[in-house]
Amino acid sequence: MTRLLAACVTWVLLHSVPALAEGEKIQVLAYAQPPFMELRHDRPAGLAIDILNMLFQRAEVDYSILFLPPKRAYVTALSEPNNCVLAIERSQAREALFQWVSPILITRHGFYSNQTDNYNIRTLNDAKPLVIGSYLGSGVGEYLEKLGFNVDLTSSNDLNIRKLQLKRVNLWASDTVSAAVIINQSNLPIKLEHVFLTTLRAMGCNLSTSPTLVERLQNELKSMYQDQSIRQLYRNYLGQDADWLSN
Amino acid sequence: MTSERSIPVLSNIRCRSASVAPKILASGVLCLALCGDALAAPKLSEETVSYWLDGEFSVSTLSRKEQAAELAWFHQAAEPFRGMTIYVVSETIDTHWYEANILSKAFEDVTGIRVVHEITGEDDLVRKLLSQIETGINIYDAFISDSDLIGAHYRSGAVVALSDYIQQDGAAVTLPTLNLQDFIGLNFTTAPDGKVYQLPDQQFANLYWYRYDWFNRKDLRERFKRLYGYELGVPVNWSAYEDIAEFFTVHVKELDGHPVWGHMDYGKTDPSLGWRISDAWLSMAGMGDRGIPNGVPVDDWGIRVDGCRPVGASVQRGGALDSPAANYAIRKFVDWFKYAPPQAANLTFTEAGGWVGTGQIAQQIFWYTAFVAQATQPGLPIVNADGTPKWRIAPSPVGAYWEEGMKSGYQDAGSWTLLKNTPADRRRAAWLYAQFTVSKTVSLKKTLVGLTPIRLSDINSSVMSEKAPMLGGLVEFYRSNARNYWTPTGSNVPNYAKLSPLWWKYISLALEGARPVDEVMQDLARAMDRGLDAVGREEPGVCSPRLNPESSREFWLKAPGAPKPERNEHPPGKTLSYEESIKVWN
Repeated sequence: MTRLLAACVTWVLLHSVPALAEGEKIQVLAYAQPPFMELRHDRPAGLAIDILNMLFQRAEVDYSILFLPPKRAYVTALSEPNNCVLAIERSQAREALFQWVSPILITRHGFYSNQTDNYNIRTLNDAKPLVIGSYLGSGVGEYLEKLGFNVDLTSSNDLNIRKLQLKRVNLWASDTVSAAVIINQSNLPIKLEHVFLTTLRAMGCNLSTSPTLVERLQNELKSMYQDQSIRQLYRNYLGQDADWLSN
Repeated sequence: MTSERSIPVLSNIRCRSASVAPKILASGVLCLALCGDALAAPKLSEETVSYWLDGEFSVSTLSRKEQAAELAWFHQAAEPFRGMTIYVVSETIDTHWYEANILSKAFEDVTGIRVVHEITGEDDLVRKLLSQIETGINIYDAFISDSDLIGAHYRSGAVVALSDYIQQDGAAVTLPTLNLQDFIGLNFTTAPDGKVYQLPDQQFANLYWYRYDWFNRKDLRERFKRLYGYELGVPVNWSAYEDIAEFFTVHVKELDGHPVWGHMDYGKTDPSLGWRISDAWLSMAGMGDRGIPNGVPVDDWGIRVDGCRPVGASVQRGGALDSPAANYAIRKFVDWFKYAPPQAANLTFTEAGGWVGTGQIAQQIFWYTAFVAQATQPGLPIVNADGTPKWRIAPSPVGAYWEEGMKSGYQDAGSWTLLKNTPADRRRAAWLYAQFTVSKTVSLKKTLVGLTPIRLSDINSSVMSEKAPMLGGLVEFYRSNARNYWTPTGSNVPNYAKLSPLWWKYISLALEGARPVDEVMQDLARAMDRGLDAVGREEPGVCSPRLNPESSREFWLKAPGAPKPERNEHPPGKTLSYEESIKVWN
């Protein structure tokens, strides 16, 4: 599914969004990661997409969404003016590379193993001797690599499932919400071993993007948290009582 | 101690992830099943106590009996929270790795509370703390946040005042033997309102680092004196530092067949570039006013205060961020890269930290003692065969504008911080873990591993006396009054998270060299003024910023104290022997 979604499909929003004061249009580059971002019937959908739509409409900023593979989305936003990548992990190592609108999402990341494995992982360091699957463009993959972990990178997150099942990697590093979706959709015999990192998932915009525009989006995002709009969008996906940060 | 060793403790109550299969319910609700027996409350076994006290925490300022009593207290106090998983976060230094890898396990074994102790970059940590406050979402149950943020913490109303908490909501979960007065950094975490907002977890200072063995070589001493007319020694001022940097990089060039450099620094465009300057570099140049901890009324960020109210950073508003002293400080920072290895300009704080260990660096004016543990590893070219270091740390030289009574350098005090928007039960559980990581049962061992002392009892222990010859002067520094003169960012900075990005964004422009340093600093000062003004409008209060009206630069430069008018920036170089240099610490 992800391979199909990864194909470049553009969905331009034609909603009645007023013209930009800056006269600019932002191209948001997303990548498939259900339930946050995916193409459903050729239309962008998911929690991060819903947050994005509300954000741009409230800020009255014109935009379009293009789905790409994660690494390509990342490098395109790095190099192309008025391009932003959604929703990548904001980190100190990346801080100077983009202008940020954050947090779009807040996610926990954990190590997953086959049900039959028994690694007894209680801390991040316990996973050091193991091979860990992640994907190109993943901030968590970068984080683990910098710490000297043996990380095996694929082109998309879901490909790690197969590698894990074939025992080509010992662990799969993934955010807990999208991992839960993948595991439960196919009833996979995979378990969460240990949560090791929380990330602020953000929209990273090319450095040439108008700072005024970025500030406007940031202020609007903040007001969406404060008036509970974001919480309501989370509830739409995770249920009324869901606390996705408690694992 | 390795994680492979099995621990026969409390295993019946640990919520093992093996049994926790994530499920998306039909309704779309994400839930994670809890262990059914998570709330059982077995007695703390002697086996558990013995495993940790005899295996890991065998050095302590407490007797074994007293240690066992502390563990028993933690076990008992944690009873309502057994089976809970809490989330905490800290920056990337050895001390916090020890906590994340070892202390979190010990705490879980003793209390039944699982801890996810995350390690991340300091800037990430600051962003996460700000995000938790702004979004209202409980991301973490506790943060180990630098005391540099104290100005924001006490103004924001979002941070729990610990001195109130331990008397009120947190009384039942406050360790009777915590002994706050034993913490050497408590002044740094106490706000102008007199309340303690943070509990120190680790401290490290920024000191001068140099190759003691090279500086004592007869051939090098004679050659230096011939060239510069004074003794090769610990530089007292920046003129001497500059001479020594030139001496090793330009004249010595190689020692024992290896290239050597007279200076080391880092300059990559990255948040850590900001710390390089905001961590007291300008005060070391002498930009601010006299007064400990940060200079009154102009501090080490160049911010002037009126009482507790920040009134501006630019000279035109009475600040000093674009004053002659500040410009001088940044010019030297940029210029001295010519004496550093070519890679230095593209390194971050973390990447640069290990460079002294390569044996190519003769001196470093600005060296975080958080790296002492790394610089004492056996086998390094900077460590003798008997384990003693070939290097020493000493007081950093000061710039041409520095005067007696001013702050002498920077000290980091990473400190436990609780936010008000954390649910009360999770906050209590996190407070237990926070206290465990600084309890006397574990703190001496933690100090020996990370070399970031927080307790006077540890610093004065016989164990540290025995260790002192191996640490190049660290113990001497922390036993002296100097530990009070090397201070963190102070309470003048009203919102560290919002203002600190200005440092790296503007200093990187100065390093690129596209524009003169003086212009960049003028822009930085104006940006800081705008930032202060914005904070004042967003967070009104008796101590919130309100800018002074603009006056002429001359008006403020002629006024007493900072901002100071231009002066001779090239006084004669002056050096001292190591023994003489560290006398200023007493």
